[in-house]
Amino acid sequence: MTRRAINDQDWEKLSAYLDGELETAQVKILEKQLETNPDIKQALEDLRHGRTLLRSQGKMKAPRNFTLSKQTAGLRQRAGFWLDLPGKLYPVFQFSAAMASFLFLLTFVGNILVARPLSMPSEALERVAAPAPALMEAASPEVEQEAEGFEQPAQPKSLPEEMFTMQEYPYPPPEGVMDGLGGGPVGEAEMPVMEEVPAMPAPLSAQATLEVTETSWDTNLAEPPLAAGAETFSTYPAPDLLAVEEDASPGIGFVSERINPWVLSQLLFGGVAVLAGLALLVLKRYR
Amino acid sequence: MDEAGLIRDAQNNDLDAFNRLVLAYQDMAYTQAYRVLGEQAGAEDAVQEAFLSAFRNMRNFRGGSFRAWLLRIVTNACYDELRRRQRRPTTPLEPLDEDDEELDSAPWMADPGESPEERLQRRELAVALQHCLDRLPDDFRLVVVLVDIQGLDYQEASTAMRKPVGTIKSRLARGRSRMRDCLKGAWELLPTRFRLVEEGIR
Repeated sequence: MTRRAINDQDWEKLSAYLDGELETAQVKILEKQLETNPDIKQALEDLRHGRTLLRSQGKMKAPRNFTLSKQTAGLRQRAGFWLDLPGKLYPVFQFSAAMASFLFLLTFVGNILVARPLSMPSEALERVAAPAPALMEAASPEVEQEAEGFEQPAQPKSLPEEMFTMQEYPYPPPEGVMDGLGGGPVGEAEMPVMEEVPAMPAPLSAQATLEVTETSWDTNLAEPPLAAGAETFSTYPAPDLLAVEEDASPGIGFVSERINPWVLSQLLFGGVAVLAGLALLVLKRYR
Repeated sequence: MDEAGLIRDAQNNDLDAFNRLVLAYQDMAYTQAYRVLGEQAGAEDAVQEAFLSAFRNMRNFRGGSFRAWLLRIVTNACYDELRRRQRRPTTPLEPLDEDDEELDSAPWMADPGESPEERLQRRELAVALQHCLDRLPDDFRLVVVLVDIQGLDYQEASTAMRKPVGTIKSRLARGRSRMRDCLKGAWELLPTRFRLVEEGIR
């Protein structure tokens, strides 16, 4: 007679043997053990007895019917849809927020690396870069005709400083255009005071006007004026007289040109990211 | 009952066909839920949820044992209920008798054909078994109930629990071993006739 402690493997074999799920080879080995080891035999009997007790319980009778009414099934389905909705929308908003944030960063970096400064209109930049003769060639015949009606005075050696102001800021910017320092509208302090500017000194011929314009342009680039009313020169390059006609009439074009597409994209993606983030906060509570 | 036909109709959203399946299997489902959860209210909730879930997922039934498929849904509902209890533990209210005394088992368990003594013994046995089942780990208890109470074979239990047959074998052996230890410990709880049977074996 062999006696040894029953381990987990023995229990597993005994349990499978009880249910007829043990392989034939193992059945023979186990049956030999059952003949020689009374502990194994007793364990098998205990298992069989426990199983008999459990099986004697049989099925319980359900305390009520669990059949579904059409209303119950339908209502539960609809309720389930609305209850599940936050959980289904959550990953969508998560993805949207992530993508919008990424695109926002992309446009932000792109704006820094690629875009031109906002305070300077692109056309004005080109004018600054362009040589003065090119501007002269672009003079319109109307201006020339106008200028011919004046008598040409003696050419002054040097022009008064106020005149630069007058010629370089000959018109108020269109209403609503952010043209002042720091991007604000031009206030009284920044606007050139028209009263302080002396009257046009002389009827200039077209040639004289253009020369003056050229001179003032060059002077302006070389040495910024120090007059109080001319502070805007540092940020706003002086347009010439020809540019007055060009810029003043199509005011809308002037404005639209200043809206940077990079900034628009930033606003769009930033807005989407913020809205998606807020939606996620709300959905998190209900999903 | 043409089970295959009812299943086919239920898969086409025929609620009447599905309800006939419910009537055929509700005792089995309730037994499973009650033995796993150990109390009536939770078992009822689990069974109701299971049948609703089964109706919604009828199209996912791809043939095979409908009983095992349904028991899998009931088992999942029981797991959900067990998880819910772990999050929010509650003390179930025991049903009261005429003298406002707590009953250990619900009155529907009584068989009207039994004598009072037999009824008492049956109730004691049910209490002792449920006591031991409740002390098993959840995974062991589910397998023991599926195989020893519901009478599923290993393959069906494997389908119902979505576990390999080897896992079912192992869990069943351990569960039975612990049940044996528990029943020995609760010897005095066993009804006299079962104690006599046990002593006769010895």
